[in-house]
Order: sequence, then C-alpha cells, then structure tokens
Amino acid sequence: MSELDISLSAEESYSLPPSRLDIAEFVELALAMGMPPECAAGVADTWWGLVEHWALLRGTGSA
Amino acid sequence: MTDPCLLLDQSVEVIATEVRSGRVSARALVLEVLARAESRDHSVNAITRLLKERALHEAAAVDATVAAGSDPGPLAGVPYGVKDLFDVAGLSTTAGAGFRHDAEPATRDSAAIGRLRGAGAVLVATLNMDEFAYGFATINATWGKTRNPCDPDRLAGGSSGGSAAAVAAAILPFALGSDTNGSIRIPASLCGVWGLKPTHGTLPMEGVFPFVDSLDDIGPFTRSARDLALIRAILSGESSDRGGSPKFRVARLGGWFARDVTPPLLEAIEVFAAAVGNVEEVLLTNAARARSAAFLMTAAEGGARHLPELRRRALAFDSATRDRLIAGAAFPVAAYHDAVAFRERFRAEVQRLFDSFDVLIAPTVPGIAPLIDEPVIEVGGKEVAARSGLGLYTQPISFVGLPVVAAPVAKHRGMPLGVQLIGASGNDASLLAFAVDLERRGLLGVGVPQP
Repeated sequence: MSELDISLSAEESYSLPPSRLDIAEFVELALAMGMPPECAAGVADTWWGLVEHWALLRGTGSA
Repeated sequence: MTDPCLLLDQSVEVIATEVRSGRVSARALVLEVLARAESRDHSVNAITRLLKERALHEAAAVDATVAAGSDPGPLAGVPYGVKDLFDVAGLSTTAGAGFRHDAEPATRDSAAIGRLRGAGAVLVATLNMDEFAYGFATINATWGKTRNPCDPDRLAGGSSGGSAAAVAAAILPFALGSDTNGSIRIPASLCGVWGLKPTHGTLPMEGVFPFVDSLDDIGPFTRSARDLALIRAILSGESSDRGGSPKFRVARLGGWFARDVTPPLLEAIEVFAAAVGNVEEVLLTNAARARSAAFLMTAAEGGARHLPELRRRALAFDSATRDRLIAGAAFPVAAYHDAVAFRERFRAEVQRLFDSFDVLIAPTVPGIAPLIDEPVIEVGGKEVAARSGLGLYTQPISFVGLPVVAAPVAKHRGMPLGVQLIGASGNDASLLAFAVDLERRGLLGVGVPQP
C-alpha cells in the first residue's frame, strides 16, 4: 500500500464542534455519576480501537 | 373495489394508482396496515409508535381529494413509516434514546415527511433503531431488538432496522431511514429489501435528528427498484423519469471488498456479474484506510454532538452507545483532522475509477444476517461484534458521499444476500435507472409483482 501524505494543508478545512472532553474531566465525570467499572472498560476498549484505526489511517497499522 | 389486503403486497406505484382511481380508499389501506401491525409486528418488533389518529386524518384528506375529482399525487394513499429520528409534529423525536421519550414534541414535520405528504403518502408509524443511530444491529435498550422477518432468530441489521423489517414483513410498502456508515444499506441487505443511500446532501435533512453531519443522509426502503426511484424523485423534487435501457460501464470491487466475503455471497456476486456481462475487477487500494477514517470521523463528531447530554446524564444512555460516544469525545482532535484530510485524497482515488466506469458492484455485508444470540461476524480470521463490524464494505463508500443502491441479489438457506450498486457523486437517477433495468431483467430483486 502506498504511503499517503495525510497532513492537513492550510487550504483544507474542517468543522468539528468545539466541545471536547479530556480524560481528566472524564474520570471526574465518571466518579461524580457513579459510573460502573464496566463503563470505563467500554470507553477504554473503544478508545484503543480508535487508536488502531488512527494508526491504520496514518499507514502505521494493519487492517 | 380492490381488496386492500391484496393491494398492500403490490408495489407503491400500483397502490397509488388504485387509490387515485377510487378503486380503494386510503382509509381502507390504513386500517389494513394497522391490522398487519397487530398480527405481524409482535414477532418482528419493527414499530415503536402507531400513529392511528394522524394516519386516518391524512387518509381522509386523500380520499376527499379523490372524491372531488382531483389528484392527491403519485403516492396517493400509500402508507409508510419513518425511523424514529424524523420529526413528526406533536411527537417527541426519540432518536432511539429512551430518555428522550418525553423530549419537547416537534412543532412541525421533517421536510422529508412534508414532501411525502405533498405527494399523497400517509404516515402510519415510527420505527425502531439503534440508539442515536450508532450501531448496525437495532438492539435497542428501551424498545428492544428488531428481528429479521426472514428468520426471527437473526438480526434485522441497523441502525434503520425497524424500517427494513417493516417493509420486509410487508407491514408497510415503504419506509424512510438514515445512513451514516451503512444504516440503510446493511438492514436492507440483511432483510432482503431495496434501500437507497443518496449522494450526500441531496435529500432533505431538515427535521432529522443528526448524528454525524459530514456523513448523514436519509433514504427510502422499498420492495422494488422502481419504487425506490419514484420515492427518491419525490424526496429530491426531481422528475421520476427512469429512462430507457441505459448502457453502463460496470466494474466489480475486489481487494478489500472480496476479503471476508462468505462463499455463498461470493458465488452470488460472480453469477450476477457474469449475467451483467463485461464486468472487470478493480481495486480501491485505500478502502481500509477510508473505513478507519470513517470510524474516527463518526466518533469525533458523534462524541462532540452528544457531549453536553453526556455531561448531564451519561447513565441514561444505552451503555453500548455511551461508551463509544465518550471515547470519541475524549479522542485527540488531530485524528479527526487526519480523517478530514484523507477524505479528499480518497475522493480523488474513487473519482479516478468513475472516469472509466459508471457503476461499481460490491458486497453490502459479508453474508447472511448474524444470529441475535451470537451477534458476531468474522473479519480477518477474528470474530468481531456485528453492532460495529457490519460496516466493513459500506463505510469506505459513504465516507466520500457516493450514492448507493442496496439490492437483494440472492438467498442462501432462505436468508437474503445483498449487493451495493455504487454510482458517481450526483448520478443517483442514472444509478437507479441501472437498478430498475436489472430488476426488469430478473437479475436483482425480491419478486414483488410489477405493474
């Protein structure tokens, strides 16, 4: 598979809404809401799945 | 007079013709749908709300128009349902979330419902879905699992599973759904009906609960390609001219789109391609990357959209939805930027194929519908959850907004197998003309009686 340049050029635009969550905030949120441990596990599973997808997108992972 | 029970199994076109002629009333059709819902939906669980009062009111208006000698429109008296994320005036738009059952009611119908009403169609039901359209299974924590009408032990697919199942069970002649990563194409394929994911942004999204703005589209489910073309034309405001017998340059996607396909579907596609004739195999070498980029874009936009509600009441979400939305909201924004940047390059790769071909053929899902009690599929030799894994072949295509007709191609042990017919951006009408031609030649379809 050929390597693609996927860096964002100045001309390319995106429109992700500004509202974001950081991990520290998530932990705080989880504790405050009394989230069960399986929720944290579910989030972590998905998070690592996204890491794999990001690696694949950047050409450093495998399908 | 025409028997409404027999008529309801016909195509949308035939039903509307009978209503326009006065040989059957729209009211009789609504009553027949209500009776079918009563007798059939308990085994399918496609319907979340029956809108009896509204449907009878709309039907009365259609019947009065016919009685006055006027034409109610090309969908006169045809009953239909919508995925539970279309605004319906006076009802809460749940988007499949239990905690939204008491959300402030919509003040007006979605634009799509308005256009269908203008053509004489009669809204009868709202239909089940995965919570916030985030899934390929229609396993809903509040409204339950939608079962496949071909085998109730199997998934209907999702996230528009209620729409596909209601049409496949012949409760409704057509239904609307939405597709972000495959949510029309996958349930259409698993239930054995037709589905359309239009060119991104070409059908009206006003009054549709959003998921991922960059990818969301609405589209119809039907039991024939002709009906699919008719309803798209009405939703888009274009004429429904289907053309004659067009000549198309057709290719079949190999590589990523041949990996993990089960032998019965592989064989069905080979038979189909041979019947179409002159179909060569081509590659989209970055399809796997496109799928990954679609996952990242979905997680980021979906997470950002729902973050205010997650902060307020995360435990009210279905856990399968909540965990993925939180992960998406927490993921580095740089991944989203990469996905956006990659999309333009992938679009160029896809466009190069359409310089040589008009239609690309690909599987919709790897095989028949997975069992509800064992909701997994095999990808790369590993079992993955069907809820997130069934978009293997649909996500790379919708990532760049192409129009796709999901079509029934064969059956294996009584279960439907489906293909995607993929067109160039903006070529929805000619893509549908191709599908109609294949249906007429008996190469695709579910065998619904044609006019």
